[in-house]
Amino acid sequence: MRQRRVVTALAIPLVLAFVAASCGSDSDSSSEVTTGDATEETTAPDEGETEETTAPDEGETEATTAPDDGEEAAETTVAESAEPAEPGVYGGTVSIGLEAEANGLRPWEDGCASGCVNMARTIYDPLMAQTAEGNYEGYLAESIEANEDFTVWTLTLRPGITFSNGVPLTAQSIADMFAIQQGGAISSGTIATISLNSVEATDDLTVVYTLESGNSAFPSNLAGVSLGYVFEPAAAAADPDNFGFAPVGTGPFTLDKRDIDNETVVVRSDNYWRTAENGDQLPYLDSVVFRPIPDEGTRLDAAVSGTTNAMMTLRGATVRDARETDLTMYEFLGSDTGGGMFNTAEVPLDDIRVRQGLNKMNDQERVIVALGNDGISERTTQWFSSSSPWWTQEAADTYPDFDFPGGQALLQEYIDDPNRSDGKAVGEKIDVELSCPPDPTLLAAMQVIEQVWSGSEQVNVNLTQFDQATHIQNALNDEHKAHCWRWSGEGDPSASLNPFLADPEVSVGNLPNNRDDETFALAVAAIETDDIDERKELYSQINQRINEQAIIWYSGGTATAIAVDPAIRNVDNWTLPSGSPGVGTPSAVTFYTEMYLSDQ
Amino acid sequence: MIKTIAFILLRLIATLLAVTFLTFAMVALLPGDPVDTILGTATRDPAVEAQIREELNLDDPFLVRYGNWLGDAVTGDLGRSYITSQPVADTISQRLPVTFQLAFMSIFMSVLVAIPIGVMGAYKQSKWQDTASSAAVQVALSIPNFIFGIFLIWLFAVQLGWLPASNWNRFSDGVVDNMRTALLPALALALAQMAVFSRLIRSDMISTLQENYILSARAKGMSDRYILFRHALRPSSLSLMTIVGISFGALLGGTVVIETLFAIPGLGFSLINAINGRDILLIQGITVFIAVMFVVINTIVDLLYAVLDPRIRRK
Repeated sequence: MRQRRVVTALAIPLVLAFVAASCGSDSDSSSEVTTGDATEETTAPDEGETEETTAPDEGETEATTAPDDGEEAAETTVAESAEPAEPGVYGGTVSIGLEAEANGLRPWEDGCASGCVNMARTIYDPLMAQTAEGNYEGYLAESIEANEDFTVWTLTLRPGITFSNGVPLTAQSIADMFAIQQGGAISSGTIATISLNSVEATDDLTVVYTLESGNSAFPSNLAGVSLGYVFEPAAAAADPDNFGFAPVGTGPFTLDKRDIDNETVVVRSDNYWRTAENGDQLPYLDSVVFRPIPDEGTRLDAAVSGTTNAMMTLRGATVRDARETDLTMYEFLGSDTGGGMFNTAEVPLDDIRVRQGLNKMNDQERVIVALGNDGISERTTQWFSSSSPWWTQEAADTYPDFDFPGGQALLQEYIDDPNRSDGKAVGEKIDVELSCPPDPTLLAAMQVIEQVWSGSEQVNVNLTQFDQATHIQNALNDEHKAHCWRWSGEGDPSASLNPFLADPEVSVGNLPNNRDDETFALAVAAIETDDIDERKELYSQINQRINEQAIIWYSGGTATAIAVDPAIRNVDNWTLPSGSPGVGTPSAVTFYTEMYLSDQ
Repeated sequence: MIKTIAFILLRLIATLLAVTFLTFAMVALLPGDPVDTILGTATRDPAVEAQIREELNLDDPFLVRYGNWLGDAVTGDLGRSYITSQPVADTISQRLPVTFQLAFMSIFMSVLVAIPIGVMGAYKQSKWQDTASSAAVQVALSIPNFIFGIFLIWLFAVQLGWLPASNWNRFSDGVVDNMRTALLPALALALAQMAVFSRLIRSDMISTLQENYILSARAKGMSDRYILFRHALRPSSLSLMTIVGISFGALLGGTVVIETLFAIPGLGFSLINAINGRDILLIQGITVFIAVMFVVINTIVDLLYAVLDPRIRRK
């Protein structure tokens, strides 16, 4: 008996000591082992592509660059962005921890999320890229022009560029790429969405794209991986299955080693076409090593300990932890936002009173706190973040503030309606299923929403959790009710909004199954003009209508970050070949062309 | 001997058939479609989607798909991953050395520590050494291996900077570099096993030390150390051997949490990614492989009994 007391007395404090050290809040890891994070690769960052949604997480973070209230000023340097890329120093290796491995490096065939895009940008160059102002300029393209109705786009390539295998980049290369892209698992969807009919080379450097219907936002698609990342078509056609292990692009680096789930190494390309503004041959780095590290805490620890010298994250909690370290933070607070959707084809969510009532009872601020994002994430009211050029106050004003009594009143209207769509008797509670993937932060957010909804005494909330693949499958199969999801991104609004608003019978992207021809007509009109003010007004109206119909809810924007050793420079202030500053690091993705190590 | 080998082979085939069929069936029952993993939620071209489904035979009946897979598998063709397009056999051959090394190192470390602790516990039964070792074992059993792993990363990588926090250097990259990346994850796996092994050794050793021949050995004036390690340890190791075999087999597929935590490209990590992506052929391939390894390892364990215990040899 005495022995047992001694054993227990020794055991408990030792266990607690281990747990405390492991879960400590200083510069070490979080205690979560997010084995499910490896599947984030199923989604793609919105990079001007027509792929609508990203990971179905319900909103992680929106970073401000300020430390959290009440905390000591972190030693972290939050970098000032928007200074032009400075002249660099040659040499060195950047080793960056990614949140997931790339499924593959075939732009036409393999889905490419943030980690993959970081890799792809070292091997391939895009035809177009997004500037800091949000528009699109040529990267490999020297210029692009449209005809009057935006159905024919004429692109002129820069001269003198070769692929890494020595083959010249010509307009015919782009045309030959199209033949492969038409059959690609990923590219074909993009081509179908934008109704791209043909791609022809009219001379050595001139490519003509012909669309079935006008699209003023077409250049944004040429900034995305599936259509815009240029690969050598002959090499791809010769061995499509293995091209991802020997990719050929025009990028600043070439693939040296591909050890899947461990490391991918790219080394400086000998014949890269770009020079810096001061004439320096680019790139500066000798190599870049990409290490997929799914666990957030381990990824941060790897960067802090020097196992890697950079890391990316799409999680607010990790942004918060990384701020406490000596790493330099490049945070991006963009339009990518978490939240969820109501399946308007399912009772009782087909009734606008129910959706509006539930939305009014959704306390977004509390959800943000539950997600651990207070001080990091801002309240979201529309498809765009407040820093986006598309954001409008009019749209913001239509998103409901938390109004519990107002929500109850709307639900009561439905409950008292003898013709209520769910067929239940007057006075009976409504049934709602709320489903999110099994992420610890999402579970906390779900529970906040569930508690508020259930607290109305009007709603029976059934919480369900499925692994990410099943969660996505349920959405695609319309087997969802209130469903966690993620919206928007930094690309052109049409890329995400048009599929979202199109006829649900035709468009996979209209996951809420909300058919509103009037709103869709606004979306179509927005790509029939290139007048920015006109487009902005149209998107404002679209967001107002989405808010009024209460199709989706928001749980705060998503802050992402690239955290690096302070010696690494030119991380977020990359420039286009024209000298225009790029858009920065949305979704923790950047270009490595001008990056350098200052301690070489 | 031939009879024994034939029996082992039959047992292996029956096991594999059962395992592969059940795995195929269970994965087929899972919600989720590999096409959705390949295409994501982006707008898709119906013709391309149909082509993918046809190439992957996803619309064939379950038994037809299983039969086709089985027919290919017996010729060594385990198919290609739906997600990476890499041959499944290649994926396994790249991952296996990593998990194998991890499992072997953790078992080795566990046994190395467990034997002296277990022996000491039995020898000093009810004394303070036994009590202290029991307390340590209880602590070790109480700590989940991933918590211990996080602690190891914090201590040895972040605080001391002695070892890397993540990823893997292959043997071909250099033995020292390889060991540096293998040490922490192997240690994380070893902790709980060490606890179990030491308890097993201790309890078996306590029984053995009460045997008459041990009394005879003492009466002959043999030293305690000689008696413990020469006469008592071997007969006390039979249970340990069984558990080691089972543990090794379990580790080949059960290291998923540690492999994910340390970002190690092993079988477990690959398997969880395959499950999440509904990569059926990769799931099948890895499962078959693990099943084969389980049977092989346990056969080896059975054979080793004869080595350890002469009475079994004489039988």
